[in-house]
Amino acid sequence: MLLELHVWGPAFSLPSIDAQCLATMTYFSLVLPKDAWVLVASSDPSVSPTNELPALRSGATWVSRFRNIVDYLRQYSGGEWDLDRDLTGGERADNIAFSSFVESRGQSLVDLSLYVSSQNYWDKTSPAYGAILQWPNQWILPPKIHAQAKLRTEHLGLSSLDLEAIREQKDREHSAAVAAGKIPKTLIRNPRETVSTLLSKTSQQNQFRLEALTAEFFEPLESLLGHQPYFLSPDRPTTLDCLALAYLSLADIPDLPFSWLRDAMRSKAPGLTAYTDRMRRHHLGLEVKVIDALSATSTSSTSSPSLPWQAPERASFATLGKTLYDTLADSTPILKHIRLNNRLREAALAPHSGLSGKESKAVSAYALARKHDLYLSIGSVVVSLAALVGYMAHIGLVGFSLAEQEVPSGTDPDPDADIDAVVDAGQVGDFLSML
Amino acid sequence: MSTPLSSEDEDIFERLQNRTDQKVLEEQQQAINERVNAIYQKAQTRLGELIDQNSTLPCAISSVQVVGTPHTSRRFLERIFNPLLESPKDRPYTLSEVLQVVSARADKLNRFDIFQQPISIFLDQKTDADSLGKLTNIDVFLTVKEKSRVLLKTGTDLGNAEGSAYGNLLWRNVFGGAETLNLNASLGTRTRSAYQAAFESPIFSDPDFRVEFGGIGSSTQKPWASHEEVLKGAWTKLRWLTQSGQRHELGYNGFWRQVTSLSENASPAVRASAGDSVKSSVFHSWVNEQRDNPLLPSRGYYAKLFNEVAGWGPLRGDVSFWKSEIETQGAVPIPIPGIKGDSGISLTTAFRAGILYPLGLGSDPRPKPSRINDRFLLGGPTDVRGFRQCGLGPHEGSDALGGDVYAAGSANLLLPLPRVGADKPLRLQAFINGGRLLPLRTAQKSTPTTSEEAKDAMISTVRELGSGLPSVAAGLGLVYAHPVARFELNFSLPLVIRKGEESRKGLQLGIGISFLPPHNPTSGLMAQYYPPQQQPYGGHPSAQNLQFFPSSYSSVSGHTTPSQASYGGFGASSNQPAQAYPGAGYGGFGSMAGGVSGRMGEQGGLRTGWLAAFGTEGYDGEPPLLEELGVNFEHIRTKTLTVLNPFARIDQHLMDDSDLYGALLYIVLYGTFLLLSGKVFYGYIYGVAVFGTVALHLILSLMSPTVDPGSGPNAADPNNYHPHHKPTVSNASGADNFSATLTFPRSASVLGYCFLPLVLTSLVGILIPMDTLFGYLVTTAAVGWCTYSSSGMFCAVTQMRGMRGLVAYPLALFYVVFGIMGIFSSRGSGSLAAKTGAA
Amino acid sequence: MSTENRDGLGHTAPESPSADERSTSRTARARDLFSVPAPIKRIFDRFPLVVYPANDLPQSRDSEFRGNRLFVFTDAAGSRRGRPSFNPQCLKWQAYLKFVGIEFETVPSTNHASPTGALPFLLPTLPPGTINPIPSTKLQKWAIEQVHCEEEQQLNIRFEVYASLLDHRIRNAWLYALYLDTDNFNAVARKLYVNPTTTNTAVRMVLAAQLQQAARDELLKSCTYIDVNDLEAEAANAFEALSNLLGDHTHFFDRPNPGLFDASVFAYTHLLLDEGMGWKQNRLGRVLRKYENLVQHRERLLKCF
Repeated sequence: MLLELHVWGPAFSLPSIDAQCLATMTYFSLVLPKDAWVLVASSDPSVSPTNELPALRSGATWVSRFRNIVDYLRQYSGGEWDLDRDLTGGERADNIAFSSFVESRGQSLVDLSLYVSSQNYWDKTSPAYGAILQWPNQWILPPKIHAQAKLRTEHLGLSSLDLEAIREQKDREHSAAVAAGKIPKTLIRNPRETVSTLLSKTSQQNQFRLEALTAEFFEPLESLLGHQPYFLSPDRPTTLDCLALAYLSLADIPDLPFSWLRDAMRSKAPGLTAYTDRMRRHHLGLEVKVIDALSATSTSSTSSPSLPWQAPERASFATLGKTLYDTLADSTPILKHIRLNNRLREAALAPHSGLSGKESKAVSAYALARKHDLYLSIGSVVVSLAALVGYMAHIGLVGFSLAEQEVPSGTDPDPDADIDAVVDAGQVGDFLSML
Repeated sequence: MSTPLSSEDEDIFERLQNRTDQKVLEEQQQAINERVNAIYQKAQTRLGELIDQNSTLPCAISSVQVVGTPHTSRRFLERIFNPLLESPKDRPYTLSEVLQVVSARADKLNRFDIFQQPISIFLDQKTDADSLGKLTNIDVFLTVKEKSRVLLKTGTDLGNAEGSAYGNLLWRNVFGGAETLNLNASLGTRTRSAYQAAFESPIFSDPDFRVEFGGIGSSTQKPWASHEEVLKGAWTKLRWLTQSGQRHELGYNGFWRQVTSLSENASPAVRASAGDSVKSSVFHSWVNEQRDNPLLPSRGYYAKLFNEVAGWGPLRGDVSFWKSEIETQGAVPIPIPGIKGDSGISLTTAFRAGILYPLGLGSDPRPKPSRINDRFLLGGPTDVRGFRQCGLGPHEGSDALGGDVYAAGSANLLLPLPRVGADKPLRLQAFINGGRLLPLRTAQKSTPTTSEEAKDAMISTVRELGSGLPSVAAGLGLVYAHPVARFELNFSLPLVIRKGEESRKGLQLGIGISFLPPHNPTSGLMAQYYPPQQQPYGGHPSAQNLQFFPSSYSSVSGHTTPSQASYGGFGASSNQPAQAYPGAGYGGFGSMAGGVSGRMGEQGGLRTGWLAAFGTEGYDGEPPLLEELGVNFEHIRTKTLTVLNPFARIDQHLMDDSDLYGALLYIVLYGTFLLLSGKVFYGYIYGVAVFGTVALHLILSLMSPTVDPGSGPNAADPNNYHPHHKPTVSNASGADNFSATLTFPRSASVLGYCFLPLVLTSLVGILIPMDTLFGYLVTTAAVGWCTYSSSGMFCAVTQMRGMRGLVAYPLALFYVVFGIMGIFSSRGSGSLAAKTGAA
Repeated sequence: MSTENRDGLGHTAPESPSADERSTSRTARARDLFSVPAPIKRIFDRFPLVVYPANDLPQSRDSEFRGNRLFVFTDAAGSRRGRPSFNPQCLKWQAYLKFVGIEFETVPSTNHASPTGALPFLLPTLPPGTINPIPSTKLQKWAIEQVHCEEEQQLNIRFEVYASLLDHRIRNAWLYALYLDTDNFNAVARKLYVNPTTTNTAVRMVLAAQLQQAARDELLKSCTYIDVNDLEAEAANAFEALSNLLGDHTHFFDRPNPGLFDASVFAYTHLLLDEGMGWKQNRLGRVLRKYENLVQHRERLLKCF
């Protein structure tokens, strides 16, 4: 049976814009025979029930995430398709440790370089997404991914790479200062910053931080690699190689406007750079174009090791409408949660979702947990809405309430009583005045 | 002001204009005067007779009718007036008694602060008296006008190193029983955020006996102890007013306090006390206010006793103590032998003291040490002058840790300024004040562990108060008692201080609602009902009485006026205490935030002060003012509704009166919402609005067909009848050519009203980031809506046919600008802003 | 106020440069206007006439401690006996300081008290009168200055690499096991983190919810949904790798005496193997027990306490 690997589409002349996808497809190209799998640049997480890419589809089963896919392949092939088959204990330990190291550190570095650094994001990354995404998604997914990346790298305290963050902060300071009347307003200016001027000017310690981060990341790998062709064993690659290649090649993207990561890599780790180039040439191809991926019949392909691309099915109007509807729903405050939970539960409860029973139980439990606070918010919103409407009705802003003059106490005086009432009222009234 | 004039109206005007003969006018004037005099003469004589006859005339009240209460519930009114209907057991009322009881009731009604003054009373002798025999039956009519039920206030305060935006919603007479709902929200740089909701209702229709429920959530910086306090909680309290004008409050507080986000150099003691604590306490406070003027007393005294028990027995919580405070102030005028009458010189003395007695939490007997947010703080320009904010008492580093026992006193000598005179609220003052603030200490300097130790510790600490001189400062200053706040500019020098206490030499500015307030959250909340706030309202009635005559002429027949004058006086006399409660409604917020932030004096004073001075509306009873200004809520509402409902048939007379108030309101509202959602755009909004309006007016007036009076008939004439006319337009087109021309105010008004959808959008923008796909969609929709309705109105008003698209285009551009402002203003994925920024 | 503010694009409202010059010069003049002439100043300096000694401070819980104070998650009894903290981060540094032989007392505290918003932090005795705390990020540097122990990261490239196992794989699994696993949360986390803060049930509920939400968000940073099996499998791998790294040495990287890495491993292994924690579901612990050398490692180090 043909295995379908759904991934994020190509960018920066790499076969995918996402590290996990790169790693996965490297793994595939290393272990699987060419004809056993196809690569679909569907670039749309919603294809898989778990709503994330990379996702492997064999028959009705969906498996997502690098590690799950690797495990699935092992089971699927009865232990044959497994790079880490014969590693010694020490190698195995290193494999695990370095993999986690590469994933954690590499991810944050790539986030910083491609997403948090505003110039890079706006000049390169978001156009790249624009190229691989289909129409509605172009507007929807990149902001999400951007936000996530920022969130992931908050703790590094390098938000100064992010122009918006800086501007917001400056605005806050500015208005506070003006409010406090401390600074004459003319002394507060907010010039256009570019990341480089900013780094050179404002934060020396940010330079140091970046230095430290990149050093911490590259040096161990460099020294582990030494001069051998692969990281762990001299003769054959391992999962570590796949992951390392993925992140390194994303770090090594040429001609970014602000290429601190690439520079650091080239200066600090020449060995790694060479390794990355070599591996890319052999397993991923140097010049992958979007067109290959999208309009690919898997034969016609310019990249030297042809990845078995298969064109993702074009979005029909139905699917297109669906995506549109989904995003609308997802971006409406409350509906969002409902849908998220439902999607998770589908994913969890779907029989072939490639999640084990326990796992799906956990997922659905998690979804339920989310449900609770969701209901809370819905409740509050409904109540407040009701209050608003009630109030509007009350003061008659919405039509149906008209204010009638009621006479709360006593009886309505009949007209003729009124008439002579005026006279008597005259007397009594005058009388009152004298008291 | 511009309703279409019917023909005879017009010739009336002509006649009026033609009459320019000076002499004739004078004659008329004279004639009028004579007639008025004659009427009064007659009235006087008849009254004399009437008194002789009927002062003891026995009579019964057969019915009471309150007219003009669309929103007030009947049961509520019945509870007030039923007592009138049964007359005393032994003998019937005499007429004079009737008058007294009726006016007493009316006064009671007045004190609920849901009706505008005056309430005009009007007695009517029932005609079929004979049926009931000798008694004259009297119908009592009270004509009232309800106050506007909803007051929405928004504004911004800049000053004392704090910028903040606030909104305040007061909803009177919620369920028709004189309940009030008061919502406050403020965002600021020091009082980061404060939200408060309070619902208050009289019990048994008694204005002097009220119950209140409230909730608050706030987070406030406390720079003097370098931390931020996040407070969430609720309270409920009973308030009643005794006959002698003493106010009692009895209530329960439940607060969750969080001492958090400490500053870099917070002292170890503050660090140790960071974290959560729950206070659950019952309190009682008693206030006896006998000063002639709370802000600048010249005679009388004031006493307050406050007791609070927290955490003890069934009240659980994390803190347990008994807090007791007493506060007194007395003032005596000092006569000068030479001058007779009030010399304006007065001596004011004040004394405060309080103890915080540790109790065992719940059942366990071991007393708990006090926490930083329960301890007393002392010092500050509105408190003990000559010291910095919380400058007295134990300090660690720069942090004021507060104390468990304190006593503070002050003596001020107030002298009128030479030229200004005694009647102006401006005084020179010479003061000396001082105090001690001590932590609870046993003789051997350790925390008390048993209740006995606690007792001894308390005793020794109180004794310690007397040892040595208190920390004292003296000085001279100027005092100005603005109706809502008291401004002081003092030059002070410290005489006696302790090491570590932060005194202040030289000038010190103090602005406060209440001087010498205790600084802690609960009392901050108390402070809503702090006497001085009645002042502005207490000040009113005298002024209002002057207005009685005109308004009562319009209300009932002219004869009743004098009675109302007398009654009005009555009302005024008893107004002062009653008005205290609405006072709480307003000033409450300011002093609440202040109280929470521990800087009640300044903030409270400022906020209400500015409100009073520059607020969007004055104090109570603003409708008359608005009516003078020509604000017509009915029109505003109808227009708003037309805008809100795009499918409404647009009446072309809709914009005939081009009032700009609604328009202005929306513009300002928009600015405020944007402010709340992060950015301040007022300037741009005003600018774009003004220029845009001018430009659009020019364009549209060029586009709109010029209407000549002759076009009236043949517009209705079938042979140039266009099939696609809206009937409203076609048949009304010539009916009056008044509305056909496009005046500037009118187009401004249209534009302003059609602004509403964007305003709503910006309101959404406060809650949800608008710089997202969702935001774009909503904004686009709003802009479309604005354009649709405004173009519709323009077409209707200026009778442009078939060129709606053309009209819509510039309008769309106009509204898009505001829409984009809205998007930029609110935070979100920031993609749009960033694209423009990084490009 | 309208002119004082800018729109989102960051333009400043147009201002004539002369304006601020004028304002600055005005302020300058104002300054010398308000400066006090010398003779008056001399008189001022007389005041205050009397200065008494300072008020004594209100008694606070820890004012009798006079050593280095390490603020950690622990209970009063635990702090008196210097028992290990129940929070991995705190325990890591507590253990490390013990290993390198620095004297200190643990003080029960909350995150609110910390300058970084997270415990632990340390208030040093020296220099006397210092009130600036040392956050956990700077603790190692401080310790090195104090006792001149070496910085272990430099010794072995594998330090950082294997540390990433603890900081991500094991930590994530820990977060799930402690906060999101309902049984454990109610049995352990509530008891340790929520209940000490307040006695009020409503507030406790709020805090508990906040705590769980925080953990959930932390885990969701890296993935779109939380996959328990993944987390536990990763953790299992991590433990395997660690036990491989330890081999049959007494301490990691075959050092004579325990150091930072031992401390950070101990922080998790101890808490997972500690009976006192009262775990309801301890799958991680079960996995951990498979690796004999890690268990012994933990017991060796536990003797230090």
